[in-house]
Amino acid sequence: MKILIVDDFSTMRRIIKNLLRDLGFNNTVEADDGSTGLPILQGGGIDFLVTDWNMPGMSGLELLQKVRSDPALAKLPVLMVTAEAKREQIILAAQAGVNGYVVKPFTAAVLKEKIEKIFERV
Amino acid sequence: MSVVEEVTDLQSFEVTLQEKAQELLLLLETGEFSGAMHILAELSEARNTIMYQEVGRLTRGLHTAIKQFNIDVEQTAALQVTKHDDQDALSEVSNAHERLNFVLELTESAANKTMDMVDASMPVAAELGVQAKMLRKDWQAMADAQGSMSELKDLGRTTESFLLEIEKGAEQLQTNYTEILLAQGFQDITGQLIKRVNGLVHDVESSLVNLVVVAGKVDSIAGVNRDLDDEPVEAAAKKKEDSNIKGHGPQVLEEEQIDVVSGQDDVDDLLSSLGF
Repeated sequence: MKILIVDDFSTMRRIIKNLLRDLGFNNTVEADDGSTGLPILQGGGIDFLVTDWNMPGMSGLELLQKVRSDPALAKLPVLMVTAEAKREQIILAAQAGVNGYVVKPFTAAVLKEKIEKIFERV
Repeated sequence: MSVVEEVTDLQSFEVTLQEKAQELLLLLETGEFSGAMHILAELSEARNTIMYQEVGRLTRGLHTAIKQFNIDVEQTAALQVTKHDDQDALSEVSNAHERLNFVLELTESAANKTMDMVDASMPVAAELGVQAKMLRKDWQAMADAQGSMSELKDLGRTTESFLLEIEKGAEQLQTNYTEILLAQGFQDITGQLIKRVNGLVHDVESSLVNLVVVAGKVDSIAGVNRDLDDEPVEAAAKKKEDSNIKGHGPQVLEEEQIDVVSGQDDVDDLLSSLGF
């Protein structure tokens, strides 16, 4: 299981990486926004995407939309971990085909629960 | 004494204007046209002076504020104070104000929390070290006494070295914790910088408000009617949509906004209502 973590803050990537490691996911790669994350996804081998929303360059929602419109990536499970908390945005993310939505600040338990829920369905 | 010298601010200019108008009327009624023209010239001069004065004063104020702002912010260029947004200039400033206050609150509580954790962890590490030391000494004594039982002696030695490792580890932990504690000094610096930027943002806002007030006065003195229309509805809607896609950033006053979720439970409820 190889996971791509996309967030513009290295501290947040580190936190997510450490939490994922605690959950038994050791194989992670990182990108600092959608425009650097997308080529990694297109390169193949990524099984799960964890992305922030508000990032310079390509936002997480745009990345999600690109993923869903790419036949090779369309089925990739995507978890959004973000500080974006407007109802209409959550609805937008849901419409764009997000698999889970975690609002920051979050706890390790919430992240674990959402990831497990996603993999139950996949 | 001329009108110009009397006029020190906009209020007194208005008073002067009213007084002089009556004088002017009186002169006109009595047919003293040269006196009337003199008053008109004086009024015109006073009007120009007050306008230049006010604009000059505000320009200086703004210039100083912006200059200070540049100097102070230079070192913290990474601080993205104002992001593109869909509001007008004034509420953007108050937005930055709120955001910075929130950053201050968050970093402060994070720093305090970390330091609380360090404070709680240090005695634990110290106690581990003390106990390991005691155990090692006990085992050392026991191993020495049971000279004939080589196996037990080996075990004793192994355990002893293991405990020595724990002892070293505890020492290392303490050093690390001290480092973590010292590292929290950033809050002092960022806090000070943010407070200063916040103060400057506030100053700039006040200056802008004054400028707007003066602009309004200047308009009324000059007799200009300006249509202060809001931006076109379509442009506003487009900006809002862009913001929805690019992201708004963290919400500061969640409890006051109905269009914002209050936490993960709210998100989960919303998503499950959408069939998730």
